[in-house]
Amino acid sequence: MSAYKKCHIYFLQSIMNKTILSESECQQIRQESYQVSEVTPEGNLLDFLQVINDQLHPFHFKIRQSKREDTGETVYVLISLVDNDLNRLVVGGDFTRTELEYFKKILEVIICLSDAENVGTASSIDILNLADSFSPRMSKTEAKRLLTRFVDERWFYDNEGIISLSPRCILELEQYLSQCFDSFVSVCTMCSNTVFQAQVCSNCSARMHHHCAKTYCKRKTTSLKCLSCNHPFPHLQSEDNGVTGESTSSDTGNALGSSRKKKRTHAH
Amino acid sequence: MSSSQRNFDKAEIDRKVNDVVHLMLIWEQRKIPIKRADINKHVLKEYRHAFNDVMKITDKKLQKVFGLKLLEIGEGGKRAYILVNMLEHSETQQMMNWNDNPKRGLLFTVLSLIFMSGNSMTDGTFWNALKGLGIEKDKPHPEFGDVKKLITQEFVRQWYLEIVKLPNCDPPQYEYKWGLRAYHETSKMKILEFVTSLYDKSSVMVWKSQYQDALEEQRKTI
Repeated sequence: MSAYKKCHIYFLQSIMNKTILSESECQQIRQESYQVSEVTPEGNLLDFLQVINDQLHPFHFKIRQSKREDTGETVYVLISLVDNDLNRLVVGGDFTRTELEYFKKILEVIICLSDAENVGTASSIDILNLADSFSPRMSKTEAKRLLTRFVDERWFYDNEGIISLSPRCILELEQYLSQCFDSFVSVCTMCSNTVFQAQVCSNCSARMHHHCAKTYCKRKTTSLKCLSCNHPFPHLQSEDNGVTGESTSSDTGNALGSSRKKKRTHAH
Repeated sequence: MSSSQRNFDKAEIDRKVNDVVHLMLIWEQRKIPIKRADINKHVLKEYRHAFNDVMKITDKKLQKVFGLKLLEIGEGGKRAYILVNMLEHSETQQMMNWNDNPKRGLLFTVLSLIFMSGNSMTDGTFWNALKGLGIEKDKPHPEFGDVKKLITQEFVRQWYLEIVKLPNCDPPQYEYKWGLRAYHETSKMKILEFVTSLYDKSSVMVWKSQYQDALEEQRKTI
């Protein structure tokens, strides 16, 4: 095991501030960390992160590799491994009970009520309109401020008015989401990870991440089929959900262990 | 107490320390001080008698792994803890990232204003100065929204600013000063360097009285 140095602390503080870092941000911050702490660079990013994760382990934190559902790009997320329910937001987030209820409502709209065209997303307009029927009454301004705060704190992404779950939300609230939204939570037929933003088979409703669909289409250019029921999937799009992002190669086993089981009792 | 019992207690204390570290980092996201009562309630519980020992080890671990230091603030019943950054960041480097963290940019501007004015400003003078920078007390700001709330509530709650009511003033007047966290996370000299670069001056010594003030603070902390 490599020694834990000042460069690792710098990096850790950066990811603590931003919670989610893209691959390129990670590389950039890692380089800066070496420079600022005057340590000679060695090894690759995954080795570097492993050294940090070894230190984080006793404190129930981990830097996990994941993919954004909206763009398919690889990101690194700092998550808590315990208390993976909404109490997290009250203790750490200083949200009131009402604000918490609003958060739950947003989750509900995104997970359960999204239309067939845009599974796993909701428009900010619909989300803000929730405030109208909310009790105690919430003004639109307040709802807007709250939604912005949720986005700033990296629970959701806002792509020009389309709201979706961030990897932080999916990983940290995993337990809560699968318990609360049980039948609405499925796994991707390609990578076996939990999936929200997806392309859906018209026959069996099995789901696939947009970025996984892209990978699938690259490998198999004709007679695309649902990986679950083998029903033809002719409209399987090779484009992401209208949002452009870096294309990434498919998941290979990685040192940080993206989980592959369907039901988990806690994130690891 | 048998040695195995002592070992068990030590292991249990270690577990509690790790949980306190976890709690403090989660709580730190709010940037609100955490009270002893919160730590006892959420983590220590039946081990509250070991509070002092636990906090000592917690501080060590926070410093070693996270580069953060425990700072006790307040007195008596109001005693609480905040986490302060031990690492030196190039202040100018951080500040220039206004896109990344505009609130921090505003904070540094506010701290600069107060320091350059001799470490305190009355609210009238303060808001006039901000108005000159395009920030108005009662007008929603495109970036910060309710600026008054951000500065007088959020920054104060986070111990970056202190706002004190002046005695014997009618109508009420307030004094704006640096908060305890500001003193620990930055320094007068660093702020002076920031202002110097902002005004494109050759050296910090251009600001005679502020330079002396900053130097005095430096001497005290060494």
